[in-house]
Amino acid sequence: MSDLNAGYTFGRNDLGPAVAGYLSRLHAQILVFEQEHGARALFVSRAGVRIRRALDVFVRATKLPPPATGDFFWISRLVVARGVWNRKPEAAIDVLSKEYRHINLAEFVRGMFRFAPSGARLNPVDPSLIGNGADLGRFLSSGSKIAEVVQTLFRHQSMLFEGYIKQLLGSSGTALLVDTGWQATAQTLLAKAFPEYEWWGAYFGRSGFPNSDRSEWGRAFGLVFEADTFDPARPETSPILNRHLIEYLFEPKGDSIQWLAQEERGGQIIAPGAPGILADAPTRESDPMFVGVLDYLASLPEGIQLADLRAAEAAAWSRIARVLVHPTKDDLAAFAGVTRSADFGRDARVPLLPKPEPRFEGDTPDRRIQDSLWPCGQAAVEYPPEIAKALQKRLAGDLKAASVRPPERAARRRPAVAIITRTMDRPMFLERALKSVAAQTFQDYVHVVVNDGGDNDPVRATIERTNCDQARIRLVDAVKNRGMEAASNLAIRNADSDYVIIHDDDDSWEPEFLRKTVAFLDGKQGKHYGGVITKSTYVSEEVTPKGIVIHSKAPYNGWVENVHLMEMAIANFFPPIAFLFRRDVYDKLGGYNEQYPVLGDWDFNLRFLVDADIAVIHEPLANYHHRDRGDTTTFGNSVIAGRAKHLEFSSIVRNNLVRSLVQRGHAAAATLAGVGLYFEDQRNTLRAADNRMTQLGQRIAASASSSAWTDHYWVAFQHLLKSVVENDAATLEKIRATALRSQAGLLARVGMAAPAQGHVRPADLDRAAAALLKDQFGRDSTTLEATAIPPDFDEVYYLRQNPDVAGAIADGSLASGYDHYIRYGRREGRNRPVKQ
Amino acid sequence: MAQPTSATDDATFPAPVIYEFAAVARELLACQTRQALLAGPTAGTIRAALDDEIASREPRVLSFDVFDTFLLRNNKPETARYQELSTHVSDRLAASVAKAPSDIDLLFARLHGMDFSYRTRKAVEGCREGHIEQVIRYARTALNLPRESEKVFLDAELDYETANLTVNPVLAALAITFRARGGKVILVSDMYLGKAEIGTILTRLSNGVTNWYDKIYSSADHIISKRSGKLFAHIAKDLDLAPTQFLHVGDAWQGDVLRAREAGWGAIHFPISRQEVTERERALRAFVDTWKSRGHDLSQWARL
Repeated sequence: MSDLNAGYTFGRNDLGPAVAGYLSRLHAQILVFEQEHGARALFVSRAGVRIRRALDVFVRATKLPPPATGDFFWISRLVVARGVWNRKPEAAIDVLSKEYRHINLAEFVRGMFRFAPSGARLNPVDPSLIGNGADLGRFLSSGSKIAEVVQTLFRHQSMLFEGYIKQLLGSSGTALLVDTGWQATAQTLLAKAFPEYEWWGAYFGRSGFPNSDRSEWGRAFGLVFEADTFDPARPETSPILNRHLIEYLFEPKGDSIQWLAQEERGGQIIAPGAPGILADAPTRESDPMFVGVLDYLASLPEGIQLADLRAAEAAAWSRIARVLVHPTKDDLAAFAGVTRSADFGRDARVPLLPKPEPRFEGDTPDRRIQDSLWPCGQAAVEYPPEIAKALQKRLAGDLKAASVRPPERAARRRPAVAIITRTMDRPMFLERALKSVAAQTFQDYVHVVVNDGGDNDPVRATIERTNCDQARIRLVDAVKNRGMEAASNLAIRNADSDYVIIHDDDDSWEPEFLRKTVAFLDGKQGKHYGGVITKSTYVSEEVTPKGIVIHSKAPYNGWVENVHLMEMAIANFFPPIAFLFRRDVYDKLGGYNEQYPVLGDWDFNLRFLVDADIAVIHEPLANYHHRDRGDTTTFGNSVIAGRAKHLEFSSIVRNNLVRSLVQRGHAAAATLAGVGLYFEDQRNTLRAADNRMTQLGQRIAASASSSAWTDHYWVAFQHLLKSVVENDAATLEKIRATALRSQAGLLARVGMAAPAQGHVRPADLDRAAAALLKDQFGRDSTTLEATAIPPDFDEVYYLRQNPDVAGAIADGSLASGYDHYIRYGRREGRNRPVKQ
Repeated sequence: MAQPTSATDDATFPAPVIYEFAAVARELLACQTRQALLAGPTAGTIRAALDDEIASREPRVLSFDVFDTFLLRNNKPETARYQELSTHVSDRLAASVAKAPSDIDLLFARLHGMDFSYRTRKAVEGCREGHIEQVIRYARTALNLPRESEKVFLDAELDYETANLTVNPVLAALAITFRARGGKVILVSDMYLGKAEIGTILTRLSNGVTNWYDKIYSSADHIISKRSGKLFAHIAKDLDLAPTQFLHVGDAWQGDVLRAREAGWGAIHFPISRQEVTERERALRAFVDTWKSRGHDLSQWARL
């Protein structure tokens, strides 16, 4: 199939039904907002132009009532960023500096004026232009002439923008922005800068990153999906793996809006770039995918059959997800020639799928995949099918579905979990434990509190007065102290359940602990495990006259990724509060060993692992509390207060385990348990050696920072060489003249002590070096052209370690990794790799 | 108060003593169905326990959760109820519009409408809630139905709820007695039906009884909710009484008991039995599977 036909077919058969479902919800949303909120729908350029077009086709075909409103909102992120300048300059700077962070300030300024009706003459040596986009705030407040000119442009554009909003919204106080997505950045900026209006968003999808500003997301609807990561159980989230598909589909020809202007007659505020976008006239040849979608929409029957639309939409998303996650080379035909445009005043188009050939020295297929706008697609470009598929699976992330249906299981005849809390004369801790259980989102449990020989009346009173689910509590008064393990066994025998867990009176859970651990063991994944742990948090606390004071929290044994019998033979590495296990395994083991006053849980875990496996849920849902400050004797944990007993019983527990394993014929397991101590010693030795190596490495790195000197002189030397080669007489004369001046004066100017006192490294090396270069050559290092790479700089390694830099080289913003290192990387603290 | 029960143990130690708590809630958790329990011979024990609790706390206001507490539901899960309700609406619309939408179209429109209403109504003190009127308006607009059809939607909703609810005989009798002794009875619900709609349902189920309650509070009207904990403080302020003067009874552990107690109210847990929850889970799975086999995946809206 030709590429054009492939694109058209994909658009008509797959994207068409997906877009139809989206438009049905968009149509309803707009109408209800108009009627309920008096809102005006604003179709945000550029995507809004094509979304509006598609909606018009949908409405005509189905003969549904058209929206009453629907102006185009001629903006871009650049226009909005400048538009909020008068009201929220800090928000504008935040957006612009993030977008331009790798671009030098000179380029930024050029970008601001690229499409403006009158630009200022730019003096490239203006010292305020030292730096990149990350320095934008400093630049704009520098007071330099250039900064003033830029600010004037911003103020003017902001004034026009405010007028434009008033012009569009009229008397309506509510705007519904219609756009593809994804983070509602423009909506958020508008809401912050123009709070006198209500700003809502109707997007194709809503998706973000950990540092996304979600303050307005309550008013941002993702009509197809709202998710941050791809969920295989919800194929409609697959555009997250290739947002460019939807952006490309709805991107009309025509440049992004760069600025606003005011008509002389009438004073109407317009976007001069709008006619170029409105002239978009997609054809089957120029835009096969979009035309395919339009043809599908035009074929819809009259009337609205929501269920049919949804069924077709759901089926389409399954097909689309397969293409986006595991595209084959044949699938890629539909995307041939697709490019994406840059924004923010930049001229650039980036191919969706670069050709499988090196872009620079040291470029690799893996690098191209990493840099690609569609990594799963690029994998199919670079590798044969069997390798590509495995790589695509990894690129798509952990393919376990995030939204899992409750597992199929037979109705329970008994509570799911018996929670065992041992207590003795510690009502303060007991109350906290009761609340920890009461706050669980999973409620099918019996909570057995066993009072191991303490005064029972306070225990009963605590249970009755605490805000907990008393109906699910059973209090077992042991009457006489039996010891920790015997108390556990007593409590476990006095309840029936599928699972068991020891929730000591001084520990606690996060509210989702039981829901997640029970769901795991109930589910298909947990079928083969006898138990499951979650990650734990070490909580350092102290009992004071005012109550329990928490001092700090930190991961407890954060290195735990899985549970090896060998690892357990070295030492117990998870607390009881984190461990949910099956009752039938407990029964098979005969319960906890009542001989042990301490380390009974370690013994239990070791015997457990001889018979069954334990899974790990990688979320810190259990809190392991330690009284490790102040008086650790009265309220101390056994691990803190009972160290002597721990030492004594560590050998007894291990020896008994080895003996019992030998008696049961498990010679191999017995050997593992026996040599566990030896491996613990070896590991401690290795860790100490590793620490010493790390310290040594840090000392070497510190002394290697003197290479910063050599980089400055390398750059200076390159430019001296360039001046000689180009016969730049003026520059050479300047160097000669400067060299003849007092050497002391020159050195003093760059912050170095006079030769008589010995050369001292200046405190601010960058400023000194910049001053040196400026003094010698009349320009500073950040505005010089690309410098040759010194022989000791490992360019390939630098690009591998800094994929963002490789990306900037690929789009032409930088000449080389060394170029980046000199301009920005050194200041940002990035490592300077030295060739071996 | 906890009552000790007997237990057995080995000979080395004295026999442990077992205590259980909250007899009413335990009995409700363990029963087959609450309808059967509350209409059967042990209903008197439940009533006696509630009377004891009232006598010891001496509240001035007795407060009941509405759905699954004062009014008992059958074991159809929520999503299945919406689908059945949609069938009713479709049948009634057939009498008044040229082309009535199908039950599944109405169901999708309703589900989207509920999401829309919940998210677009103005939040109050960080709480959000939908309202049935807005849900209906969205569904009607999405299906391109005339404005007059909104009444059909609402009537069908109220008729359906009435047909699928029964009055809790123990709590209703308790309410009447409490009011007769000078106390106030209020009904408090986290629901998209406002007090007007809930009042209509109660009237239809009352068989002429008029002295069940003094006032209804619904999160649909106030936006603030029980599950946030804030509705309890709001009610106390509205009635100008201290929180300790209230005793609330409800089935939801978090919304009716934990939050009420945190607000200073007394609260009694009146849970749905384990058996009933299991039955609802099974019915929900069957419902989702049935519609999946018909080509419609409802799993993202599956609710008990």
